[in-house]
Amino acid sequence: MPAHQKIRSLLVLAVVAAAGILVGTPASAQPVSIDLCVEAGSITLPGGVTANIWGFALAVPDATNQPTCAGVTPHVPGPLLDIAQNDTVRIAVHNDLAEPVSFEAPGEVVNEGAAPVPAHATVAYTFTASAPGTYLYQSAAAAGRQLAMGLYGAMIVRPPTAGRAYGGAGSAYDREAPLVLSAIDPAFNANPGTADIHGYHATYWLINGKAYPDTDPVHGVAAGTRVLLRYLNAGFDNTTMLLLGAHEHVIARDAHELNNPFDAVAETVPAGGTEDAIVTIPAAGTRFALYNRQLHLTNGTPASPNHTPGGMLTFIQVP
Amino acid sequence: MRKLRRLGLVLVLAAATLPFVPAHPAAAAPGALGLVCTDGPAFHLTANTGYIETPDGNSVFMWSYADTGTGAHFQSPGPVLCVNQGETVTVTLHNTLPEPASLVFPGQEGVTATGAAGLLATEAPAGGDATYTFTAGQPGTYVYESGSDPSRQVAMGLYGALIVRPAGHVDYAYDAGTRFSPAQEYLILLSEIDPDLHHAVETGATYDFTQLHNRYFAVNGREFPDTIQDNGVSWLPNQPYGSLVRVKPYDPVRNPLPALIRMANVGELNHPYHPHGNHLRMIAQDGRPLRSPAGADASSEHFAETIGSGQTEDFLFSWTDQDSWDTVANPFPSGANPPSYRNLTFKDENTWFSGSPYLGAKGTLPTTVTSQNLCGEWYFPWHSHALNEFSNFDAGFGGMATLLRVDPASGCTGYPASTKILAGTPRSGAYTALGAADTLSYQVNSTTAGTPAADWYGGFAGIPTGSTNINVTYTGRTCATTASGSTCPAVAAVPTTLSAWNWTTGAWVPLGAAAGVGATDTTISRPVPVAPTSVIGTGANLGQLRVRVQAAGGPANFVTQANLLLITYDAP
Repeated sequence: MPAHQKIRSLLVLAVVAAAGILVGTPASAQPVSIDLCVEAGSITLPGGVTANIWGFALAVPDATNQPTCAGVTPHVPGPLLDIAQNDTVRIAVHNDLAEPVSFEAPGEVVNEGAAPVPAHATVAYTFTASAPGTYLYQSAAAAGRQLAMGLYGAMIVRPPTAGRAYGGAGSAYDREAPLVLSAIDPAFNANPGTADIHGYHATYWLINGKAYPDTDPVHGVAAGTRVLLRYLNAGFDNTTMLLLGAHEHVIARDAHELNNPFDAVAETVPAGGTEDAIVTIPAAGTRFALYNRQLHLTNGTPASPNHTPGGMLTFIQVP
Repeated sequence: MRKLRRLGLVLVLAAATLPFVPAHPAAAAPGALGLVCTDGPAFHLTANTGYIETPDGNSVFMWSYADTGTGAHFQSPGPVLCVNQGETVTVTLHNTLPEPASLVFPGQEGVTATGAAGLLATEAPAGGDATYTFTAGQPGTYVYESGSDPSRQVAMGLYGALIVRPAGHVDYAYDAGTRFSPAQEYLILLSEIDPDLHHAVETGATYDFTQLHNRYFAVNGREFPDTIQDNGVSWLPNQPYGSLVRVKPYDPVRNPLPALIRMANVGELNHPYHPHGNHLRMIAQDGRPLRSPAGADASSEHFAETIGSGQTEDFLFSWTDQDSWDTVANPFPSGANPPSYRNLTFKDENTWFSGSPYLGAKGTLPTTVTSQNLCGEWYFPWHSHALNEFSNFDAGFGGMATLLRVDPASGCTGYPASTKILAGTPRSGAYTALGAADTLSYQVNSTTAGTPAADWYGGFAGIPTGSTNINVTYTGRTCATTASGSTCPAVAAVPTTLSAWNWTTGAWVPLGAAAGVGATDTTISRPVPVAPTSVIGTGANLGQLRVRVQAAGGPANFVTQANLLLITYDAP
């Protein structure tokens, strides 16, 4: 896969450049070990519609305190991986699917590269989380089919200073809300191995794996609360999220702080990209809608239950 | 309530510009170009249905917001709501649609409302009302749109622009650093239409947003080439807003201030917008100026910028003549083809290209080509670079596009196409000698009986109806009758009067007092002091303009040697 290799080497360059900033930062170098299972399962969409998924799940300890995937339930998105900057991370991927998967977290230099995890096998990936930020992790195998199935999740790398998304004081926040944006085409997911990928046609639009009215509002805020929205676009479309009643201050893209942060109400996150924005809750208003401005605010087809309102919509709510 | 933003008329294709259907009988007509404001801070909108016309002859059923004060005359997009920062804005919505509708104001804080509770906004029930109140926040360009079933209602057309101006500064986008020329304030509001879905709503069939397939791509509710028509043209009764952008070259003295381009995207798609000609400087997005953390300017220049769905972007724009081709000072390289980017051909061998690389000059075009060019002005397309969006139902050069028109810095220039002697006799030369200040001259002998007089006029043709700001320049000298070749034996300076023919009154209109013209070339430059419409012929004399040069005085007979006669004017 020469194209893949090329991307890898670009990432290396990017991280080397970023690493220069980190000179003098005390390395915690904590070894962190995470066992991820890759499982087939299903997701329940609004109105009781179900769709096949492949998802990540955290392994659980067995009787001998060894990680096991027996009985775990996969989720879309996968579990949130919460890591401290400079941790040495080992992620063991236990693949219970009948086809190979892989693990990548764009922005991180994984020592094992794109080595696949064969069917029913385990491969450990290691990397040093050298720079803070919001990262997607995913299986990029099978030309995107596994993304369509749900093999993605969020990884947060935290800087040493608590309450900040990055090194700068401008990244300070009071609450955070990872928002994994994605979509599902239940018809595609019914036959992931054989469905024509050209015919992929998403009909459910998800925030953290849920479509409205099942989405989880961001609660517990008050006027002045700084809410860090960590957008992670795991879908296939550039996605514009519109915030009503407030501006958001965009501070980072793809886990890199912006030299010139800016204010936005309709901000587009590219497919595969991440973005961090801080909403300072205004004095006026108690409910701030956050929704997909491509107007993906429906569930399924007009014949589907809970067809509208639906889709990629949630709220930031006081309190 | 419609405020005049700009005077002047548009283009070539607009042979008969008719007034906009008046919002209020007493209101001023909107400017032909540029932003048309509906001024607040109290607005009354009606959500209603109507049809728009597309350039391919289709008509599409739409929903939109109308200004209730116009009798709720349907228009797409909704009125441009203009308010000042800090004002208390109230918008009353009357809903004639068959389902609840509403308004949201992205970028505004603390919007309160009366009406029926809704998911994203308080709603006006079918046949009912809702009122929204907020304090106009920071200056900038915003949109308003429906917050009710947006995948249906926004896609059907329930949207418009909201402009918040800094209090007391109509010429600031944000602050002193974003000052612009108020006569050059433009809105570029992008949207898309899937006519099948609109047809489904019209006929009560199933509306399935997941089948969205847009076929029309609009700027200010029109598709190219309708976009370049004036605001309020009669043949687009429900699409009042044009989007032709018209500027003169940057000049530190005569034209120092940039135009302000307010872009907003109310469609569902992100659009790669590509302005030809010069870069645009992006100064703000979503109503917030781009600044560094220390407050320094963080604007940036663009020749292709993606504008996201629901996003707004503001640009300052000055057009600088990079090449400055000039027939004398900087001639275009002989043998080279005129730059292709100016070779703007539309359809059926129509072009806006002047045929000349010189701004303000017309050149030769192939005989089969029809030029829509008036006097050597330049046109550049500003369009979506997604080429399927640069079309009307997949037929190219249409859709999400408009033109930038760059006028010559000193206006258009016209030279005589004929001469006629009123008193005196022809000596040598023809009207062609009047086209440049050179060694060639058009010469008239004075009369020999009574007070010697050499009296003649130059006839100009093809001056567009609606031209303004007409100025006459004449250069000539008066020689003794013994003049031969280039010699000009002196005579006493002869009083020389310029005048223009008034077609309305049938009389000559003097252009100021007589000036003495002696044996050295003397230039007289005078504005036409009467309404331009009276000196530009109509009907059988369409486009004709006559400038009279009347030299009269003694005692000796003389020869008028006219070197140069030209007019400058602002074309419509």
